Amino acid sequence: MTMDAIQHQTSAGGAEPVAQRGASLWADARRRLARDRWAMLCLGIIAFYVLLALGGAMYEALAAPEGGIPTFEETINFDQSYRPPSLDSLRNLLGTDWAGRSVLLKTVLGAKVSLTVGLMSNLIAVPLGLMLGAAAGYFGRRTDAVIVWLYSTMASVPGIVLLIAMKYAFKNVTFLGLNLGGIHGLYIALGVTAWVGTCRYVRAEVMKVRELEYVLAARAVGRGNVMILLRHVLPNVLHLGIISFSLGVVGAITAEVTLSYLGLGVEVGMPSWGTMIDGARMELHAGRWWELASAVGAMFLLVLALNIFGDRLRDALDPRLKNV
Amino acid sequence: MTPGDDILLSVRGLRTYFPIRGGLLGSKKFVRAVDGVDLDIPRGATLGLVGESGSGKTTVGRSILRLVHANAGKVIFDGVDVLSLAPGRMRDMRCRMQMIFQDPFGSLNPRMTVGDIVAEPLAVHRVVRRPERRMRTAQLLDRVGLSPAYMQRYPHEFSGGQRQRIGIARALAAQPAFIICDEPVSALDVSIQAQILNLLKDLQDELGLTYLFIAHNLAVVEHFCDRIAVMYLGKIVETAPRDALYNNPRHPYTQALLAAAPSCTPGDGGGNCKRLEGETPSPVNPPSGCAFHPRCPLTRVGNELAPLGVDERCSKITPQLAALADDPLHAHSCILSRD
Amino acid sequence: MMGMNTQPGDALLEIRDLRTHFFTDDGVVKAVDGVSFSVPRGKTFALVGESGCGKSVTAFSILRLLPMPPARIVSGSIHLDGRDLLGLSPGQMRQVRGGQVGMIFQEPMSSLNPVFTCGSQIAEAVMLHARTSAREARRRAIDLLAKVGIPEPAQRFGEYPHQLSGGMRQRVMIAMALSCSPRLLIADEPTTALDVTTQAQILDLLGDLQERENLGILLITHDLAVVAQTAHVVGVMYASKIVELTSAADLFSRALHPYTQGLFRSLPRLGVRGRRLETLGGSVPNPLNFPTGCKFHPRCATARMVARTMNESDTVVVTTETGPVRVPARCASQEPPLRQEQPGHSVACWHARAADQADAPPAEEEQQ
Repeated sequence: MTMDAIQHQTSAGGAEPVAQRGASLWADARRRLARDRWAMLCLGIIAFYVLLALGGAMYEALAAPEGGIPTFEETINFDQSYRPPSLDSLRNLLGTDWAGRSVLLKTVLGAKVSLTVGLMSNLIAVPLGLMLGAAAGYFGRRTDAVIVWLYSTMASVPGIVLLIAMKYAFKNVTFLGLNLGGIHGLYIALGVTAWVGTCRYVRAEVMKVRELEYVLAARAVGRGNVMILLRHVLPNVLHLGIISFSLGVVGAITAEVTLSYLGLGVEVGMPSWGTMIDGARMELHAGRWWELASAVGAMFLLVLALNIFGDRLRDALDPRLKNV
Repeated sequence: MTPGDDILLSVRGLRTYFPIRGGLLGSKKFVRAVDGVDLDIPRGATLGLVGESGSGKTTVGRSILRLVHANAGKVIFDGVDVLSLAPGRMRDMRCRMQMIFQDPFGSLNPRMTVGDIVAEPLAVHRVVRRPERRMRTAQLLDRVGLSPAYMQRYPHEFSGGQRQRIGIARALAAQPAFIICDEPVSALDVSIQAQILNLLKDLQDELGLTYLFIAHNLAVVEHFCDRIAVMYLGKIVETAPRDALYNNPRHPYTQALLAAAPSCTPGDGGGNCKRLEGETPSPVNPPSGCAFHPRCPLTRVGNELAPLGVDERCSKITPQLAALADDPLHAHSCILSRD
Repeated sequence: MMGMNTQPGDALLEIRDLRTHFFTDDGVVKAVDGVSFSVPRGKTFALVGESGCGKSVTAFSILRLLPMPPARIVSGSIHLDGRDLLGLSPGQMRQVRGGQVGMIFQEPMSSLNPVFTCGSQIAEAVMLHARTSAREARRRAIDLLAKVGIPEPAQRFGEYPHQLSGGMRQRVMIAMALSCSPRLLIADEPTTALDVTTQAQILDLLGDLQERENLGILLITHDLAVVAQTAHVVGVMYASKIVELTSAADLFSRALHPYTQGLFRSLPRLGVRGRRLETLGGSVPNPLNFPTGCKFHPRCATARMVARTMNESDTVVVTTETGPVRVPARCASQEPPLRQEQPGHSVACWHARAADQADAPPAEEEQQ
């Protein structure tokens, strides 16, 4: 269609048109996303969680043992155990846990853990998937065979088993200041198991892009493989990385919760939604539902928002949907 | 054009096969896309390479530029064998040989601005230094009839004809001597085709360019080219200067192709001429002898040597291009139409 | 307005003032904006134009095959054999599709389902509209394959689309479209994806079928040569409207609209060598932003020529892609209606007479 064709016969007078910046496909996608009310609502929810997480991080940074703001551990007060939610005070808004600590504060600190895990593990998984997928799809032959073998192997081991194995293998190991047995290990473990999906998508897309005439044109112009990959191939599959990222965060958050529930996630004592659910499950029969409800509710809303946003993002970024 | 002309590009015995996976036992089969092609293009001339889909015409162009790997043959460009150049030397060679692609939508990277697309050859070959690059890009855009004001825009904002102009500007940026035009107008609207053809002609006159013009539209080729080669199943079946080919086609395939080309006269060609039967066979398993013989009207009609249908010579002997006695530039590969 | 060749009700397909608009985020695209024509029984009507002119949208509107929304048929009427198609319910419309009206498309590969055999797809189309046994449908399908010139039809029945060549696939598509003996066949660029020799075969086949079955054909194409070979009546579309409507013989011997004339002059033709092609400067206008008045005036050679003979007060200067030009004021402000200029020959141009007299004026503003 010529719908997008630039029009000339609009303004009067024969003056040279002023140099104009065109709208890139990225800008187009952004515009389409901004018009999508559901996407914007979900983005608002995600932003709210990010603020909560930042608040949690700030609290941890400001709190100092003995004096000033009490740390989370110092708020233990057995007189206040198991208070149900009430509107009396902010502290008791979502009730208190077995040690009398605020469930609200715990939930906020859990948001910080969840989002950090989601972010860090995907910062490992997505670039890894992008690079390996692009290399496999572009170079083909032996490179492809090795990478396909690698991810097929990864994919055929149940992820949870791999995570448990890594968890135990790195127990109490510290490397370059990273606590491989603890939360840092969790980032890495989730990261190196989650790249397979991204890698598959990217590989398939790169195989398509590789055959397009603009890649051929770049070769005819004398570009080498590396520059073709960086300038012509990667920018045209980058949207897959972004989509993978947004949906990958969901996977990482739920994985953290599952692992923490199994006692394999964050360190004991670190407040996270997984440990909250784990701790609260024994108390449900006593009618103390609020800790479980807070953690599950907080997780549910975030995961829902991330999922919907990821789908909308995919629609906005998909070049095939353009010109419809 | 005489035989003594200064030949810029000469192709000898070019073969490009693509492997395809065979059956269960993995017997390797090949698509014989280009199967022994010879071409000569004099400096400043336009050679039209005509054929239907599957004839291998596009692969010839890509093999010459080494965009696909040729299995055998020589491509002599200005005295240098392109196919045997080391990768580094080949990169330098690429500024002298460029290509214009068929698909004005697929041949421009949608994530790059028009300015960056046109400037890419300048950047690769360091034709001009960075500060001058912008100016040079603006000149190139202006030369192909686009306002330099569009430099910051993206390909999807342009129409098909405008995109093809961008592709031409990119090809010109490296200051090539030779350009392969691979179906440059077949994806364009009628009223735009003429603009692009005229532009290509003007550029040729102005810059002394040599073209290999790949196309399936016989009318466009007749208009645009000095010399024409007709391809069928990976081989050239007839080659001649334009007038000789169109006035006096000798190979039965060329004759059929010309007869099938629809003309703009109503009522003409409606059933009164003989249609070629069947379709181009697969290049994986081309017919023996002359690849055209299963569809050829000559081998059956009015030939007393072939009472049972097909002349034995056609199905057994692989024919070679041979020049006509009275015109050394006109060669074809039909045994039956030799004088 | 134009009852050409046919009396109302006599035509097989009659379209009056059809308007199909697309309501997009960027604005209303008037893809078809007041198109009227009729397809006579047993004849071929060709709708010819460049990409984006609205010819395919017109064809798709007839069978309501457009995505709605964003598309909407805003006004107009479509009568097939005297029956108003726009008044039909979706269920009745399904009966028309593949029943009285068959359709074939440009890309024969993507219009056949790759997981079913060609034969079974035809048989399914037969069974969908005629209540027959599977055995009878199979027999009909093999007959149809034979009818469209496929050798060894019984054997080809069991082959999958990917096993056939492009021309064979298009024959299968035609067989499928003919499965319920339609009165009208809509052919949307039926030969564009095919080779020259195959194209000739398919056009011959369509001609034969038309004669044998008294089939009315609505041919949508951009290729003037295909029109010349097959059409009886032609409508030339430009920017969502028909600008010239006449018999094929008339169009090719004496086109009256400056756009049609320009198209002919810019066409490389067999037998014409080395001459520089004349061009229609500029490009097809954006449907979101059509020029005022006659949509062709910014590119029109006749308008420029006529303006030179007029008082300056009756002309205006407009800016075009190729620079400012002076055109008659009426061309730039009022849209010309499609009116009969000669018997059986309608044109939408204020200066059709001038254009006729001066056919083949040198196109001065060559776009380089």
